[in-house]
Amino acid sequence: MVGIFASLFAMHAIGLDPADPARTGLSLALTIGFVMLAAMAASGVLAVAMERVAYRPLRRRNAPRLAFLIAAVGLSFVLQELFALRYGRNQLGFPRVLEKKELFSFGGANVRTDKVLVVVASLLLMVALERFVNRSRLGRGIRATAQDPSTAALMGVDINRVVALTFLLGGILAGAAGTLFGIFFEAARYNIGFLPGIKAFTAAVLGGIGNIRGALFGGFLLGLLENWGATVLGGEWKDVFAFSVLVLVLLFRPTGLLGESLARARA
Amino acid sequence: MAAVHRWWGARTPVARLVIGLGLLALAALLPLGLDPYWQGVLFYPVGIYVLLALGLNIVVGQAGLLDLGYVAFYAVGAYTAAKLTTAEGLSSWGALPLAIVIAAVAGVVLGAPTLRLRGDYLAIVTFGFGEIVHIVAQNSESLGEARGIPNIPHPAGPFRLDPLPYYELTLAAIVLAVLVIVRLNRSRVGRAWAAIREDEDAAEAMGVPTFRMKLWAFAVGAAIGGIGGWLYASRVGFINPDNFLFFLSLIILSAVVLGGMGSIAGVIAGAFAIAFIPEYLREVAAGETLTRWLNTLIGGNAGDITEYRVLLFGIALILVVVFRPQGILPSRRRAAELGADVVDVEEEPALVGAAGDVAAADLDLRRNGERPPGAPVLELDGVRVAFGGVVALDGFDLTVGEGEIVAVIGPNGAGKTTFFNAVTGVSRPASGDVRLGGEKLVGRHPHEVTAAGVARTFQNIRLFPEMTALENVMVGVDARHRTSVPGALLGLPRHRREEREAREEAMRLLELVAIGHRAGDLARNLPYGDQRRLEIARAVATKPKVLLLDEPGAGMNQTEKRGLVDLIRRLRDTGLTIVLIEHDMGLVMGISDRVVVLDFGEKIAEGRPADVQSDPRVIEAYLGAPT
Amino acid sequence: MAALLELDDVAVHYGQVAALKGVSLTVEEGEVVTLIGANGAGKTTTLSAISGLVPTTRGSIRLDGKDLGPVAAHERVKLGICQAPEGRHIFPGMTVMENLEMGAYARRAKRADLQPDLDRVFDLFPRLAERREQPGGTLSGGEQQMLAIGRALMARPRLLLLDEPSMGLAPKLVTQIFEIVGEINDQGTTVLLVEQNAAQALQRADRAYVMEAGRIVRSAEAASLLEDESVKAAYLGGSVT
Repeated sequence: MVGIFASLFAMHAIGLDPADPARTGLSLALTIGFVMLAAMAASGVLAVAMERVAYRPLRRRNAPRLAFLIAAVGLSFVLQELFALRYGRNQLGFPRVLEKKELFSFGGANVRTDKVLVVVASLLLMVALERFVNRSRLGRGIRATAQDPSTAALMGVDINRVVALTFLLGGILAGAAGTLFGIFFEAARYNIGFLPGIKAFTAAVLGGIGNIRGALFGGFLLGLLENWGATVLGGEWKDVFAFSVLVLVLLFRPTGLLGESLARARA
Repeated sequence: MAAVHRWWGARTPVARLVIGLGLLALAALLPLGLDPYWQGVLFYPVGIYVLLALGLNIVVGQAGLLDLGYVAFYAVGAYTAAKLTTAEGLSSWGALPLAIVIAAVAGVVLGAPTLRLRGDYLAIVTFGFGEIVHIVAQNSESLGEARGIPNIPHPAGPFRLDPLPYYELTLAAIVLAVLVIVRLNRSRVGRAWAAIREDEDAAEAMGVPTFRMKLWAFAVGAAIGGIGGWLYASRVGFINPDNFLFFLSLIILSAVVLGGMGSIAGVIAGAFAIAFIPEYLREVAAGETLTRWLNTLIGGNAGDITEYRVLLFGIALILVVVFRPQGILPSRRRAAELGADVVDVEEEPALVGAAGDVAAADLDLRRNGERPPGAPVLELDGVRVAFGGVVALDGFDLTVGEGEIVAVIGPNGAGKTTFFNAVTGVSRPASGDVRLGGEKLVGRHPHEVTAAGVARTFQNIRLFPEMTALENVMVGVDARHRTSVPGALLGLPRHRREEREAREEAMRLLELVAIGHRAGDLARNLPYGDQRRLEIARAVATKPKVLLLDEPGAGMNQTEKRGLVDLIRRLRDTGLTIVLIEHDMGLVMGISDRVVVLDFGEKIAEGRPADVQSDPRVIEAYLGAPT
Repeated sequence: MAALLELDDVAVHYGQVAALKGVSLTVEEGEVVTLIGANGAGKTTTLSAISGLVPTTRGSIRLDGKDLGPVAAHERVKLGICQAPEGRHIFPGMTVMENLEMGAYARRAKRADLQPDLDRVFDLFPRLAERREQPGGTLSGGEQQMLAIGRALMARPRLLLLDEPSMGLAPKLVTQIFEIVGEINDQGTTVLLVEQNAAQALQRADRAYVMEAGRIVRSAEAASLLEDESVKAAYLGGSVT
């Protein structure tokens, strides 16, 4: 069960970042690497812990979907509020890790070091994730569980471990995204993960749930659409535009643009 | 809590009314002695939260749909009131009906495109809607952008700055909302909501227009939110987008979940607790200590306990969902649905209805008796159904005549249930035609097929487990009735007549299938054989022209099977046409006029039972060819 | 010596409905045992109880004398029980190769170590070798059944549970599948076979149990049931009325 809300509330883990040591005496690459690894580890562990505390008992009881959704909403708010109460509700500065130099300009778009970092890191993570899910034994276990959980159990897959593993992966990726977000925007706030979480879901739906390449494609496409919408309608309508895209996709092509069968992916 | 339920269940209706009125008088009179500050608190947050929780409960608790953007309707009500009174010069009272109607319309506008989505998607989309409404308010010049709308007039009458009249008005709105919910619950609409919540596919198959009923839940819930918005705007006189943040949706949801989804008393208690406890703690020393203690615990520096509200309710939400999913004051029915270990509360007293044998002939089960026996009722022409690359049913022709009993047999995976699904609109044939009395059925929704005159039972029994046997059958009778929300709310004569009819007919049908004595029992508590009978009664209640029975004898012992055969014959004698799928050949051979054999999605034999039984192809299909 | 598999008075309930009402049976090492009976008799539930998919409410299931009660479904695979489920249930989005690798999931073996097993499966089912890169969902029904059996063999089970391998297959394929079941048994795997196609199953099996309404009503040498009228009656029925 790769829950939709899992990615959503795991995004809140990026609130962890301001707590991370900003700069160490190490070189730039090591700093970024260290921060990112710390963020990935922290949010990965947190995601697994949440699975244990809230979702596993619900799964054991065969609870209806409504219960999972409500627990997800609750968890998301508990995390967010913990950070708000501890670090305040105002924006926190994020230390400058990477000097933002313009590398070159391309057709009116300037290509900066931090933008390159974000794009390259996302691609690398995607390739790593895709290789893991498609090539490794555990990755096969994840896909088998998604397609047919009881048959997967008949093949010797420990469903509980696989579910925990997917939460770990989700958390790790959200942690990495948090670091990149911090480096790029140089700010953090207790509720900064909320909207990106919803948008991550929108992107995944747009690309096709259960499809890694689709998620990446959906992410790029949503970003482009949103910014195009912002230039046409004005920046304040950007989020309205994103949600409208979500509704339209769900209505007209619920399997997403590169979608596998939705029923199969979500079974 | 079970004790409270039992006690309440044991009161007579008159006693309940007296107690209810007593509590109401208490709620109305008690605040008179309080100082204005607390009267204000009782209006907002307490009164408003209770009202909103009741509205959200219709959506989440009754219809089982998670709405994370409920506050949007509250905002729509408030902004409508503000805009109409400040810019359009309407009086505050004049704006009230419009605030309600526009909020309800917003509910329909949100629901229409989204209610066909599955649960998790619906939750996200409703959340998005809430955000959109907020962003629109924030960025529209005519709505005052982030500044909001000031100088909203108070309603005419005793309404000025003093909070008490507003509190009393809110109380009146709450009473109205409770009456609305109770009325709807006891109508065709409430039964439809419960059926959708428990088994949406079965509800659709029993003729419940699921989409329209969900839309009604959204609209009624939104209308109540609209009243809340109007109340708030009228009292405060000034609104801005920050009054309608997502966190309010969450608080209201917490109130519903904590109190007990679907339980009116629970929801009111939950909302009261959530609104009142933080306000109370803010004023007492214990609250200060608690705040200090929490501050040290997580390293925060909150000024007072209300800042911990969202955190604490978030934690409570998780704890309740994990450990007590039914909530604090649960609705009896929802408790079991949510998977809690239910302490069985005493059932409602058995419903009226003279017990005794009902001769089948007393019931007119036929919809059109004018058709001569044997005239074709159900016709299939070259029906082909494929799933992906697998052809489940191919070129299937069948004509069933009025008053016939036709059995469809065949090995596992032969396409028998697919045939039922193709007729009832669950699967759409890739080609071919299905006609009922000449009317085309292909392309219709299952509930429309049921309305046209086809009813079915399911291979693995799909009753509404937490509804009583009587209510299950009433859902079937409801398929032929028309009353919707307005009729049920106003208690129109047609509604009253239909309710009486539904109850009487359902009771007669229960007696026809010989389980009249179990009318008040929850379906899930019936023994297996009775559940099969109940499912048949529920299907017959829709007055079908053709009744489709999917393995009615599965899992029954010989005695039960004999009873079943007897029942099927009696149903036929009342004029029903019956098609059944069955594996028990003894049963099939005993009652069918005609047997159709399917194998690999194709008809391999058709004829009188005895002929089919000795057909070598049939024996081979069943026992396999010896090599 | 204890039998390979022993069920003693096993009961299973779905909610309040009893699906198995005290089933006892044994399977000795090296045998083919078949469980036959009409639909809804409890055959599949018996297999699900053995593989651990449904909890038992009474009785015991023992493998080599060891009680399987506390052993989770995925752990039972490691002990040597593997099931090819009814309706095949191959993973539709995975290739034939990946499906087979899923069969070996519990073994944690390296790819090279799987080669002999893959060879064996491809030897039994040459069709699968041709389609190894094709997604499972695009295979025909017969090929899917081959894949389901092959996948179960990849676990190197001591006890292979086959649930209705002939379901939905054309007669020619059915014969072929049963020949292969015989071959698998000759290679040393014990087989417990649930079948509706009684004639074929009884020809291949050493012993048979007949189930009715959640109980075992007969047990006998398979061959002796082949011509038995009561078995025929269980399927095609006498008359209840």
